[in-house]
Amino acid sequence: MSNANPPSHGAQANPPAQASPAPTPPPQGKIRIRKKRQWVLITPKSTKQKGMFTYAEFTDDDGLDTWWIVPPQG
Amino acid sequence: MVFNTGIAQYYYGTAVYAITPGTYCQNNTSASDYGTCYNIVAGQAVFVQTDTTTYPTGSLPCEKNNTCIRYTTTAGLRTLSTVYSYSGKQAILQYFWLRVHTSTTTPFGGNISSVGSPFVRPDPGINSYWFLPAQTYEQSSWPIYDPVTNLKAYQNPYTISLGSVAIIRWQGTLFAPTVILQGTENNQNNIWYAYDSKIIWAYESSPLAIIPLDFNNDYAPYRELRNAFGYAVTGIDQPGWNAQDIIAALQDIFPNRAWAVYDDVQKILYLYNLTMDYVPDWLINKLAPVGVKVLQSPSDSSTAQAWLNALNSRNPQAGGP
Repeated sequence: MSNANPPSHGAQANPPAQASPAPTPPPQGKIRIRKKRQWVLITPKSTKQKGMFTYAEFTDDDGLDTWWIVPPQG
Repeated sequence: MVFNTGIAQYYYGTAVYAITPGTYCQNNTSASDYGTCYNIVAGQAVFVQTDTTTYPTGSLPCEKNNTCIRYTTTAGLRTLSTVYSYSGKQAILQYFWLRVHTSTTTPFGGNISSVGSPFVRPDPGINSYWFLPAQTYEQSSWPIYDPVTNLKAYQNPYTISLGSVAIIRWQGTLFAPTVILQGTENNQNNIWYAYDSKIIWAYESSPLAIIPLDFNNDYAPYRELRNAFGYAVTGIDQPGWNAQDIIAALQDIFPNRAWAVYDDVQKILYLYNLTMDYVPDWLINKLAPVGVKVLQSPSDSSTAQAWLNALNSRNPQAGGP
């Protein structure tokens, strides 16, 4: 199975330049998730492939251990 | 309105993935192998023998090797399982397949269901001929195919060493908030039957209580649960009105068991006495939750494992072992 996380080194693998601007990759060690209609940067404790999806683990604002679906990181 | 699909599969001696299982039991009291069940593919066959003097409970060979469920009382109609029971939620029975191996030579008679066979029925109060125009319809033309009701039935499509085989398939649309699997035994003694069945229904998409329950002991006695969510033998297709109501009811009644609640509005799966490790991939694929939140981690991993084992056994994902 391929890992849904982006390659850590910025290989120039996805031209062409005419495509719409790609989202900026998140800073090292962080993951961007889509939560309540907003992009949120989190520092995941771990990531896990479950079924068709990848989830990142973090402690949410409510204090609960939470796994959130990880979209492509741009 | 969005609907979910519920699928229940029953393996009682035979299994849908076995094309021509040779499952049978010996019910000739003169035979040396009386009470033995053969070629059990999965689960257990049903054996009715009321004489506990000659055959004490636990003495039949099939009881000893766990290949049958023995009943010591006769029954006209025996409720074998509640497939689902929804209070305040609508459901639509769409399809079932039912195959039975039985000691009875004509398991399905003129009115479709006679002796020694289970049947899928809405509950309460609708008899087995609910899908036929009259009780005597097609009385002498077994096996039958009724194109209007889309009922198809076969008598002995293959043979077994002892007893007979019958298959019924029905598909259609029947609004039925409760469906049960009921054995038609007509108060006969010393009969056996093995069966497998696949039942498919649709129900309104809603928050779900994901906890495998025993209908009679765990679910039916608790009004709080029945007010909060419906029951399904799958342990998954249990819709309620409000995720927080479901969580509150389950915390109240099952504080020491593992369970999950799926909020279909926020697309969040809540876990109780569970961690992400115990959530099977097929459940993630089915629900596709955006988030998974752990309300409480398990203090004892066996609690979480029991939840997972029960879900897997009630929702077989593969075609067979």
